Amino acid sequence: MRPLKIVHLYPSEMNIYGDTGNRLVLEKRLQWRGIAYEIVLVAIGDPIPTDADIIIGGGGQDKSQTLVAEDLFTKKSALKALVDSGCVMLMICGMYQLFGKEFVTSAGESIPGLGLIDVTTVAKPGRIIGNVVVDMSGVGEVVGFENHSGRTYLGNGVSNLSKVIRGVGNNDDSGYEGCRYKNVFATYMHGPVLSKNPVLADMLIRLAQSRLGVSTELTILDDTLEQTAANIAAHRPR
Amino acid sequence: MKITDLPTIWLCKVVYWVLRKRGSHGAALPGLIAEKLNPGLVKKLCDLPEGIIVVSGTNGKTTTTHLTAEVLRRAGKRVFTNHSGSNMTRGLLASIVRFSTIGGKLPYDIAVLEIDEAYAAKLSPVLRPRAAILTNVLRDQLDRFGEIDHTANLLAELARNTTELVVCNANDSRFAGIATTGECKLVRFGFAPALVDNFPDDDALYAKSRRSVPHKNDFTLKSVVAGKATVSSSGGVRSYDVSGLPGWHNAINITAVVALVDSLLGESDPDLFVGLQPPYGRGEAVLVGDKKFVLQLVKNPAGFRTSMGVLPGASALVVINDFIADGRDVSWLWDVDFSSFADRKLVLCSGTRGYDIAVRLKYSEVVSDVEVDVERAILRFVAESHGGVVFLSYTAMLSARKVFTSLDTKK
Repeated sequence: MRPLKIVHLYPSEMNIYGDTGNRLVLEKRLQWRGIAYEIVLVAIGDPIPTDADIIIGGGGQDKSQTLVAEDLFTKKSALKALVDSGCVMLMICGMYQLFGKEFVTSAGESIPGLGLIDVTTVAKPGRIIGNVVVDMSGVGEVVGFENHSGRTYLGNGVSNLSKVIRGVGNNDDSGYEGCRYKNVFATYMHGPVLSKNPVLADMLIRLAQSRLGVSTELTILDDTLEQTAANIAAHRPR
Repeated sequence: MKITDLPTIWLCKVVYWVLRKRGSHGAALPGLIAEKLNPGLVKKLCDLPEGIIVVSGTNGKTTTTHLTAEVLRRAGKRVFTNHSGSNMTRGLLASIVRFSTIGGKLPYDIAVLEIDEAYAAKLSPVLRPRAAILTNVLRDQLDRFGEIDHTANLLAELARNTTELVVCNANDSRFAGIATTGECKLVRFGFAPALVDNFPDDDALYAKSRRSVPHKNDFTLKSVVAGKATVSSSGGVRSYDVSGLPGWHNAINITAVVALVDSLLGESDPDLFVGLQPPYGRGEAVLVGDKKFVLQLVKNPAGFRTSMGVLPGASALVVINDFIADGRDVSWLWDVDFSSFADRKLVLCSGTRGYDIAVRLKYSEVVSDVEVDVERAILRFVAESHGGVVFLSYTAMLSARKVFTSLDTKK
């Protein structure tokens, strides 16, 4: 099998909440199992590798998000082809919003998004901040930290990623966190989310492998530290 | 003075005295009472004959305030200052009631105040500081401040309300738009381009190319050699003793103090800087028997990265709590490069998020042990190591200091 290609979108611009850690978690979990991989960093102006297996993107400052939004449009067709072919993607916070159809500012102005996933985000006063615990289908309990002022509303074309056990999630009313469309996982969860949720990290790896026709089981790793950290985080004050 | 000022001061002094008698530090409650009864008491500071100096920014506030106050004291001034951690309205009020005379006077010439960024913006139109030092804007407590660019705006507001002098970090690109009003002078300090690798900032962490820094500032840190920091300005090149102040971050703090003192007093005599020590928990050294431990506060990625060089190779204890004062979110630990920890002999993790650090270290291939309870972790670290660095989040620093003070053999 060829090395698994992990693509990290905009590491210089979208890196403010520690989401770069997701890359390190994937990298190490592949390395510890002896699975060959390759990391590609995509900056503004760089092309998206058409043979990407896992694409990750994180949260950024408002200013960086504006810069990135412009560049993302030049990559729209490449990304759409990858989404349609089942490429595994993990889009956090700002990138979750940018992948959606539109972003409505507090002034009521609509800024078009990439439209790769059927969600709309509306800016509202009051930030949603705190520890969050969700129940994610196929994974179980997932812990993270949410910090966003945009409220995201899901359309019919996507499904809920997880049900909120503790915290707020997509918006003040729905009780759900994140969304899933094909193999795109979009969420507001920082932490970084893969660091304390190795089951989710491994699910992404497994999905990417099976898309390439690899069916061997992943070697079991000792995740005691990660699980202990997750249990503690789930019970800390919000 | 307002008619209500004196009763507030008396009441708070009594509360403070009672708390002290009962063995508490007694800082918080009097401040809380003063804030409820008479928040306008903060204006008493405006009566000081030589005005108010405000220090604000993400990192280096406490150290810069402490060093500025000490240098001004050595220059013969009676300096009023607030204690670290008391950098919001409540803390200022606590210091005011505590240091006022029974007659309600503040017997000082000048105030040097450390003020939190959000409160600096809020209080500066009231206090109208004579001078301000803006240290930097870095990612810190995003769960409280939201975004870095917002923090830069808060400090711009402080600069606009300062009347005589703004001393601002030239190496921080987020200060490029800082402007003063009226007669107020703007002075920029920074490090020489050759030193750039010693000062990692948030933008440089994931940037592809080395960031560019201005070649010419009003005050430039040229080098640190053998415990001497050399600073050049239009007044010439002078060297200042930093032998008691470990780390590059302290060399730039000293440059800021030199810029301020030079601009306010006409000249900063290097003799005033000899033997300066850091404030507590910021590179403070404690001795237990013949073992030396350095207590290093770490609040954010940039601060942790610059303090990586403290006692490299020695054992390390990392204590991270997630109380409000530390920040609930510990995601930032993943923006610190821990690979140099592989060279450390013993690595122990502790605090409410001790397991988060252990996980973080695991993914940098660093093996560590976890002892969540801070006191037990310290006792174990002291017993099992030959001395080393203790990296601490804010509340962890407060509790670790208590434990170390009881062990310190210097006293």
